[in-house]
Amino acid sequence: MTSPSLRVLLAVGLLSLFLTGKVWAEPGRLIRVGAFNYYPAIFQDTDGEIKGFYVDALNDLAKQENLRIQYVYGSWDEGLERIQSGNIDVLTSVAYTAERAEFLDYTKTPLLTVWGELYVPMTSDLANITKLQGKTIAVMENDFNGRSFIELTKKFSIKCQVVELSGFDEVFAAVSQKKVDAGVANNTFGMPKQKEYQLRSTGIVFNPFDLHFAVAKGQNAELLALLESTLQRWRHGEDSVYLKAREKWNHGALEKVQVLPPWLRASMAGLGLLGLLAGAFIILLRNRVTRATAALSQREASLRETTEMKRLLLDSAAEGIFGLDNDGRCTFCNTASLIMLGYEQGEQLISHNMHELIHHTSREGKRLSTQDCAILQASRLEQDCHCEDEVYWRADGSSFPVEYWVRPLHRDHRVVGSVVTFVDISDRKQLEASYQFISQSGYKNTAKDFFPALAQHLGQSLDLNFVFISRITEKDRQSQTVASYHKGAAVENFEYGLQGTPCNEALSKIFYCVSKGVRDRFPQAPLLEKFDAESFIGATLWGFDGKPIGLIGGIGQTPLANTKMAESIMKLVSLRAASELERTQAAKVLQQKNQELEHFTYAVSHDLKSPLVTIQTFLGYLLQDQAKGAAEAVEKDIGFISTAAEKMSTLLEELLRMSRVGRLVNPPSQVSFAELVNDALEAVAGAIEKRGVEVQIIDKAITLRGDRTRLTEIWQNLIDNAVKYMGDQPTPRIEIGIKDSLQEQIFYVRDNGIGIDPRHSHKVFDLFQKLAPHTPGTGLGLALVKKVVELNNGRIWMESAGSGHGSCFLFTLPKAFNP
Amino acid sequence: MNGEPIVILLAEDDPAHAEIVRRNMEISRIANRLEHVEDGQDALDYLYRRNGYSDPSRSPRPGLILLDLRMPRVDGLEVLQAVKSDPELARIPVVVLTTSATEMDIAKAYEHHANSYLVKPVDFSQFTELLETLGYYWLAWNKSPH
Repeated sequence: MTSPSLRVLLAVGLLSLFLTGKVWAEPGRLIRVGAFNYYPAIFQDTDGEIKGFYVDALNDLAKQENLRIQYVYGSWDEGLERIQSGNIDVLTSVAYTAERAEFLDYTKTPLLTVWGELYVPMTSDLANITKLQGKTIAVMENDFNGRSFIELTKKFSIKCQVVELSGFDEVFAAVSQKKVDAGVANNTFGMPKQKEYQLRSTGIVFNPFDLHFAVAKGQNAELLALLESTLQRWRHGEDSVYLKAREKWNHGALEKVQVLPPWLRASMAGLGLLGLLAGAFIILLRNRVTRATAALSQREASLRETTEMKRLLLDSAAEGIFGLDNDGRCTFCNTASLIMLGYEQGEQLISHNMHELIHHTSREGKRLSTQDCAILQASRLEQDCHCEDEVYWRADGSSFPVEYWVRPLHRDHRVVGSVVTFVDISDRKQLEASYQFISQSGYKNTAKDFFPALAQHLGQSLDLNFVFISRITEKDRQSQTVASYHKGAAVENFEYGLQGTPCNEALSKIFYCVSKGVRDRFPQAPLLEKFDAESFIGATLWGFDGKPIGLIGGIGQTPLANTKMAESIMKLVSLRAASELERTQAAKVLQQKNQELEHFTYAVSHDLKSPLVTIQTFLGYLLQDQAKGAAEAVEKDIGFISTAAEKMSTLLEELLRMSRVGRLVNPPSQVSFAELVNDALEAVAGAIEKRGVEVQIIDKAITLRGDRTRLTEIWQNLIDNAVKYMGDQPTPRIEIGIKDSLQEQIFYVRDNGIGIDPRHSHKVFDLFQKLAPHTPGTGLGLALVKKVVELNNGRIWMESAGSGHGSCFLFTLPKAFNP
Repeated sequence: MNGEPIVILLAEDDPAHAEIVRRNMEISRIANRLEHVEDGQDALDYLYRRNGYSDPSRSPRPGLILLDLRMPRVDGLEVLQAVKSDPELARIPVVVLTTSATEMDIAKAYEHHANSYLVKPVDFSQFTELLETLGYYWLAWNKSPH
């Protein structure tokens, strides 16, 4: 059974036998040839096949020598890379440079000699280099020929305007459309293409150089020898396959012209002549060619350096920079743009539609059409564009807020594309959000209280698992939260000790941060354990007096990603938080003061009214008793009246003393503990002596600073109080001393008097509160002591085992130690 | 009117004011027994027969309490609260007699079920008249459950 495909195969085999006359016992050696676009020598045609006169000639060689040729198509640079990496065997059209000679072996015989020529429209009369003065000349960018031409004009002191275009085709098109006066191309391109563009050569010829076959250095001596002998045959043998192929391709374009123009024959003759001239030129200036080659390689090096410099400049920029052509396709991009957009290689962007890649959707998730794209519009409208409220999309599908600038690129009076510069403004947006928060949230008319809102804001914007804002109490270095947030919800306030916690480290620092492994650093902190903490940030809230009053703390379950951001946000919010904490504290104190004042007014009105009632009523009785002539009753009435009047007088006197407490009478001075106690004892000496109280002072060499008179009043009132409430104690004793404590000095005045039932001990410092009837005094003494102690930032309390067991008053005076 | 005159308990820390009450009772010929305690703590001890008030004959259950508000140790409002929340004592009429005329005190006293709130007037004749009326009202006309 014979299948159709088998039959075809058989036919092809027979045909090849017939054509070559050789039997291909085994497949020939495979030669990989680097191909690139160099019309008409070698190029990839629209059908994807590699064609050209090199190809025709090489294919012929392959047939003769039983070789298999595989063309590996790519850019010129890729070809160079491939031959170095051993991915191809032969490279065509290689100009000799010292640098390339390091890794390439060249054929001695050149494959092609190339030179630059100046082309003009058929109708132009430009024929002499001196006629170029003031003309516009198109060259291909980075082309040796173009550069040589510019050098040439300089030597002749010709000033002409040079326009750089992307390729020889573009150069010829511009000349043909008379946008420029003349254009530079190499002869290999110009000769076959000039007809197509209806141009002619001016005969101004420059910069000739040879192109060779090259193989990887020291790798392919056999192949090189074969190519060398083949080349000699091709170039010098008449009717060689190479010359025929060149002939064919150089006129290939010509055959496409439907009507043969009459000037064709003359041009052909001219070209022939030019070819001869060029040959003579080479021979005559062989020395100069050598020198020119050296100059050329130097120029090439400097060009490479310039290109390299541009690349370095682009890549050193912190901003992302990319170029677009008029269709919105990426023409170049720098390293920063790749990093920001999450790509690894420029190829992932170059030639791609950037709008579709990075700008397709708005921040709100709405599809952005190319019509609405501000970037594309910039080159359409030929206007600069600046935008800071859009997002770009990364390779991984995430987006980031961006600020970008678009500048259209002009070349030859028209827009050829644009350059986009952009920066990632995530940080700025985040900081702006925090700024907006502190300037607009937590006010009287806003929905939420400031601290809970702040805790939530920080939790969300810094991706923290737990956030708390707390007030620091000086006593015991305790921290009391005013708001806390855990995983999206508010948490009940709590108190905790600062010892061994990162909060303790953060306190008195503007910003403190442990970006990872915080539990290992603070193994004793229970909160860190509870919240499975990995990172911690903290900021101190400073009071008006420059001392820490509170703390903002945040715990994250992941390492902190952006420490700088966290620092900026924490610093920003801590300013408002501190003032807010101080304000609420002040409001609380004010409320307390108001209550105190209310209480005071109430007590005063009652306690002053009471003796007044007594006086008025007994005056009534007095009049009645006097009328009756009851002398004994009259005396009794007068007794009540005078007691009440005396009570009023004492009360008023003490009220006056009370009102003075807040005022400093004397400038602060240094005074020892012993001196203060002695002053006090002197003031109440009479009462002590009268009751026969034994006073014991446990002295300590301690110096205090403050208003001596006011400080004395503390001990004076406490001693006075102790004497008053001695009861019927047969051996009354008072002990005055200082207790040692870890953090502070605690003063005490202890007696063995009647004591106080613990149930009532909280009332002792209230205004006009007397805990025992029948004792002298107004009940103001202890209230006054409390006020003086509080003015020194201290606290006062009392301890008593109960009625009949004596009492002990204890107090601190921090301000007297740290004024 | 009941044959046995009721006992009046006066809780008053100011001895002068206690004297005024006593004198006025004499003037108004009110023969009821007046028991005077000097602060709220003593008043509660008296009512619960504690600490020196344990003898029922010396500390009989009062039929009327005259209560000052501002007193040492335990104040009048605390006494009032204790009396009115104790089913044993709640029926005893409590008349608050104080110098304070503040809204807050009045409101609090009635909140704690005071039966009457009287402000001691500064004027002599007004004070004596008030005490006289008080005596007639509570001791002559008012009917208390027994």
